[in-house]
Amino acid sequence: MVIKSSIHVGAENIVCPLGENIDQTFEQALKGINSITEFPNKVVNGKPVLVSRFSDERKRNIKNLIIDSVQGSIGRCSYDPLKADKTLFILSTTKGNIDELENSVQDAMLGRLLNEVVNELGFSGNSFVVSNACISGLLSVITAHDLMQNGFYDHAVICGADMVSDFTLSGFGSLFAMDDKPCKPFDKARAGITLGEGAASLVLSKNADIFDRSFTYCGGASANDANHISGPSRTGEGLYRAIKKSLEEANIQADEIDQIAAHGTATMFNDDMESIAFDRIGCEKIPLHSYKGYFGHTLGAAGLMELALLFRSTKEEVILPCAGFSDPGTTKALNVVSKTVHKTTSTLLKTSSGFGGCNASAIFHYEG
Amino acid sequence: MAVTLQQFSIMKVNAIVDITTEKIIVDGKTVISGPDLLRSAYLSLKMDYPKFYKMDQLSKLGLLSVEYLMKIKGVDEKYGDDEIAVLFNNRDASACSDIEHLRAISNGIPSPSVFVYTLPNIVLGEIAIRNKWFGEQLCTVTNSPNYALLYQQCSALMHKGSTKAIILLIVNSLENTFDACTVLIEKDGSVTGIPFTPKELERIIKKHARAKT
Repeated sequence: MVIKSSIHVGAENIVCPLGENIDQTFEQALKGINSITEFPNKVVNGKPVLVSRFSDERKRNIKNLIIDSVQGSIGRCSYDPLKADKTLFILSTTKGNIDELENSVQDAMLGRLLNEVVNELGFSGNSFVVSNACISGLLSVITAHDLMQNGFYDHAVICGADMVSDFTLSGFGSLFAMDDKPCKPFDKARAGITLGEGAASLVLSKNADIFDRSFTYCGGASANDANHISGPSRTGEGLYRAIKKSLEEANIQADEIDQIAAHGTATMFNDDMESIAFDRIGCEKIPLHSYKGYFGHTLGAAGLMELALLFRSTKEEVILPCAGFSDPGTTKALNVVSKTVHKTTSTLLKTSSGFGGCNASAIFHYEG
Repeated sequence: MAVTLQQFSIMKVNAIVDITTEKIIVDGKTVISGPDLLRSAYLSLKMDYPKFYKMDQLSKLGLLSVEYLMKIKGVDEKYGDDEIAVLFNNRDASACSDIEHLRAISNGIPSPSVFVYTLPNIVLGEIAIRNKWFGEQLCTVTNSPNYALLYQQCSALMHKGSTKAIILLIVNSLENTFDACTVLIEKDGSVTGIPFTPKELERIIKKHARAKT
């Protein structure tokens, strides 16, 4: 494989109900533990609601969660990228501080949250929010890479975060899109999503020495389905195109991928759509999982939480199983991982899809 | 692979659409004005696209802005289905629909047709569906437009994969007010096109802000 890019990704961190940092989150996932529980005293559509939500209310401050995650990532670097010249900061979130909307529009603004975060981090360089539904996290990584590749930045610090809120619970409730049991991605009996909350962060750098161990970014792209704003494409068109472009940029064939961290929301239509896209591109035999059975669907944080857990498990030479999955049942057959596999993998594919018909895909190579 | 500044200089601004609450201006000329502006614009464009009425205000603004570009510049015929990238930036995200969804929750009847619009990138989905575009997209939010950053994002998108043109959409929509500034940036711009630079973008956005008042 030819690696054209010289941009490295690492220092991954996760702060979520499953674990206070990446180490704890990985250890819990490796034990097969998930953080999905019943939301006390909460009923949607006449049924109890399952979520991955911090039980300690003090942890439920999105700004503090972002700072905590970012500081954890920076602590894993040999120097502070936020103090370097030509550094970019991206916040990936769909709804940010949406609980504040009841008080005022201003308090709920994503730009305000971003400014509070960068002020607290003491960062004065360029920053922006990516709010592109459920592909926000992965799209932030692709965008940061492309800006660096064009020579605008040497480092990027990226954090994704979203909270479980009445706003999103009642919305997904109105779509009847939530399972009343923990979500079962790619399973025959899957019946919807489980919402989650948390934050995850990563650092991108042109200098591999900033990391202990890291990954090379090989290629990535976004593509729209041009089909429906909330329904997945029946042909997987956007996801197919995004993966195809990532493979072209990475200059590799589909069968060179060792492991796929899919989106896998566990709705019937989404997982079928993904199976069609992976089959079309020739990835149907590659070990594949969705991590949403561990910590739910965290929307704007999802892509980054999943990438962080993928990186960590690759370093530990483990392929984590697709939690919640037991029986295959997608339109096209996939190689869904059902048990922990101890194996060295190096070429990784991460995909995300979301409302608005958006899809993102990126390929990474483990350098050791 | 290093990209030189010379490569950036081939980007040209080839069309600008401004929408304020009073009027729609295409390349400096008012094309429509008056009350019930968005509906009037939809009818005058003879779009025959009833889905328009189901959209929230943000999506209507984005869709109309792109429609004027299509109509006037014939952009669609020049490019393949994945050669136009769309970059969205605003301050309010999807605040207009967020407020509507919050109101529906407090009334006890949240509606899926409102909830789906509580993401700002839905406007990009609506534009993709209408125009059958499968290209790159990026939806960003900042408290105010950062000209240098928007220029960098356009440059990075322009040098990516199949992209040959970019539509930069800056659209804000609240209950009683809205405005949209849309810029078409092309790689092989006509000789009359204005070179796309952060300064030029600043000039365009400031001129738009003056048109609002």
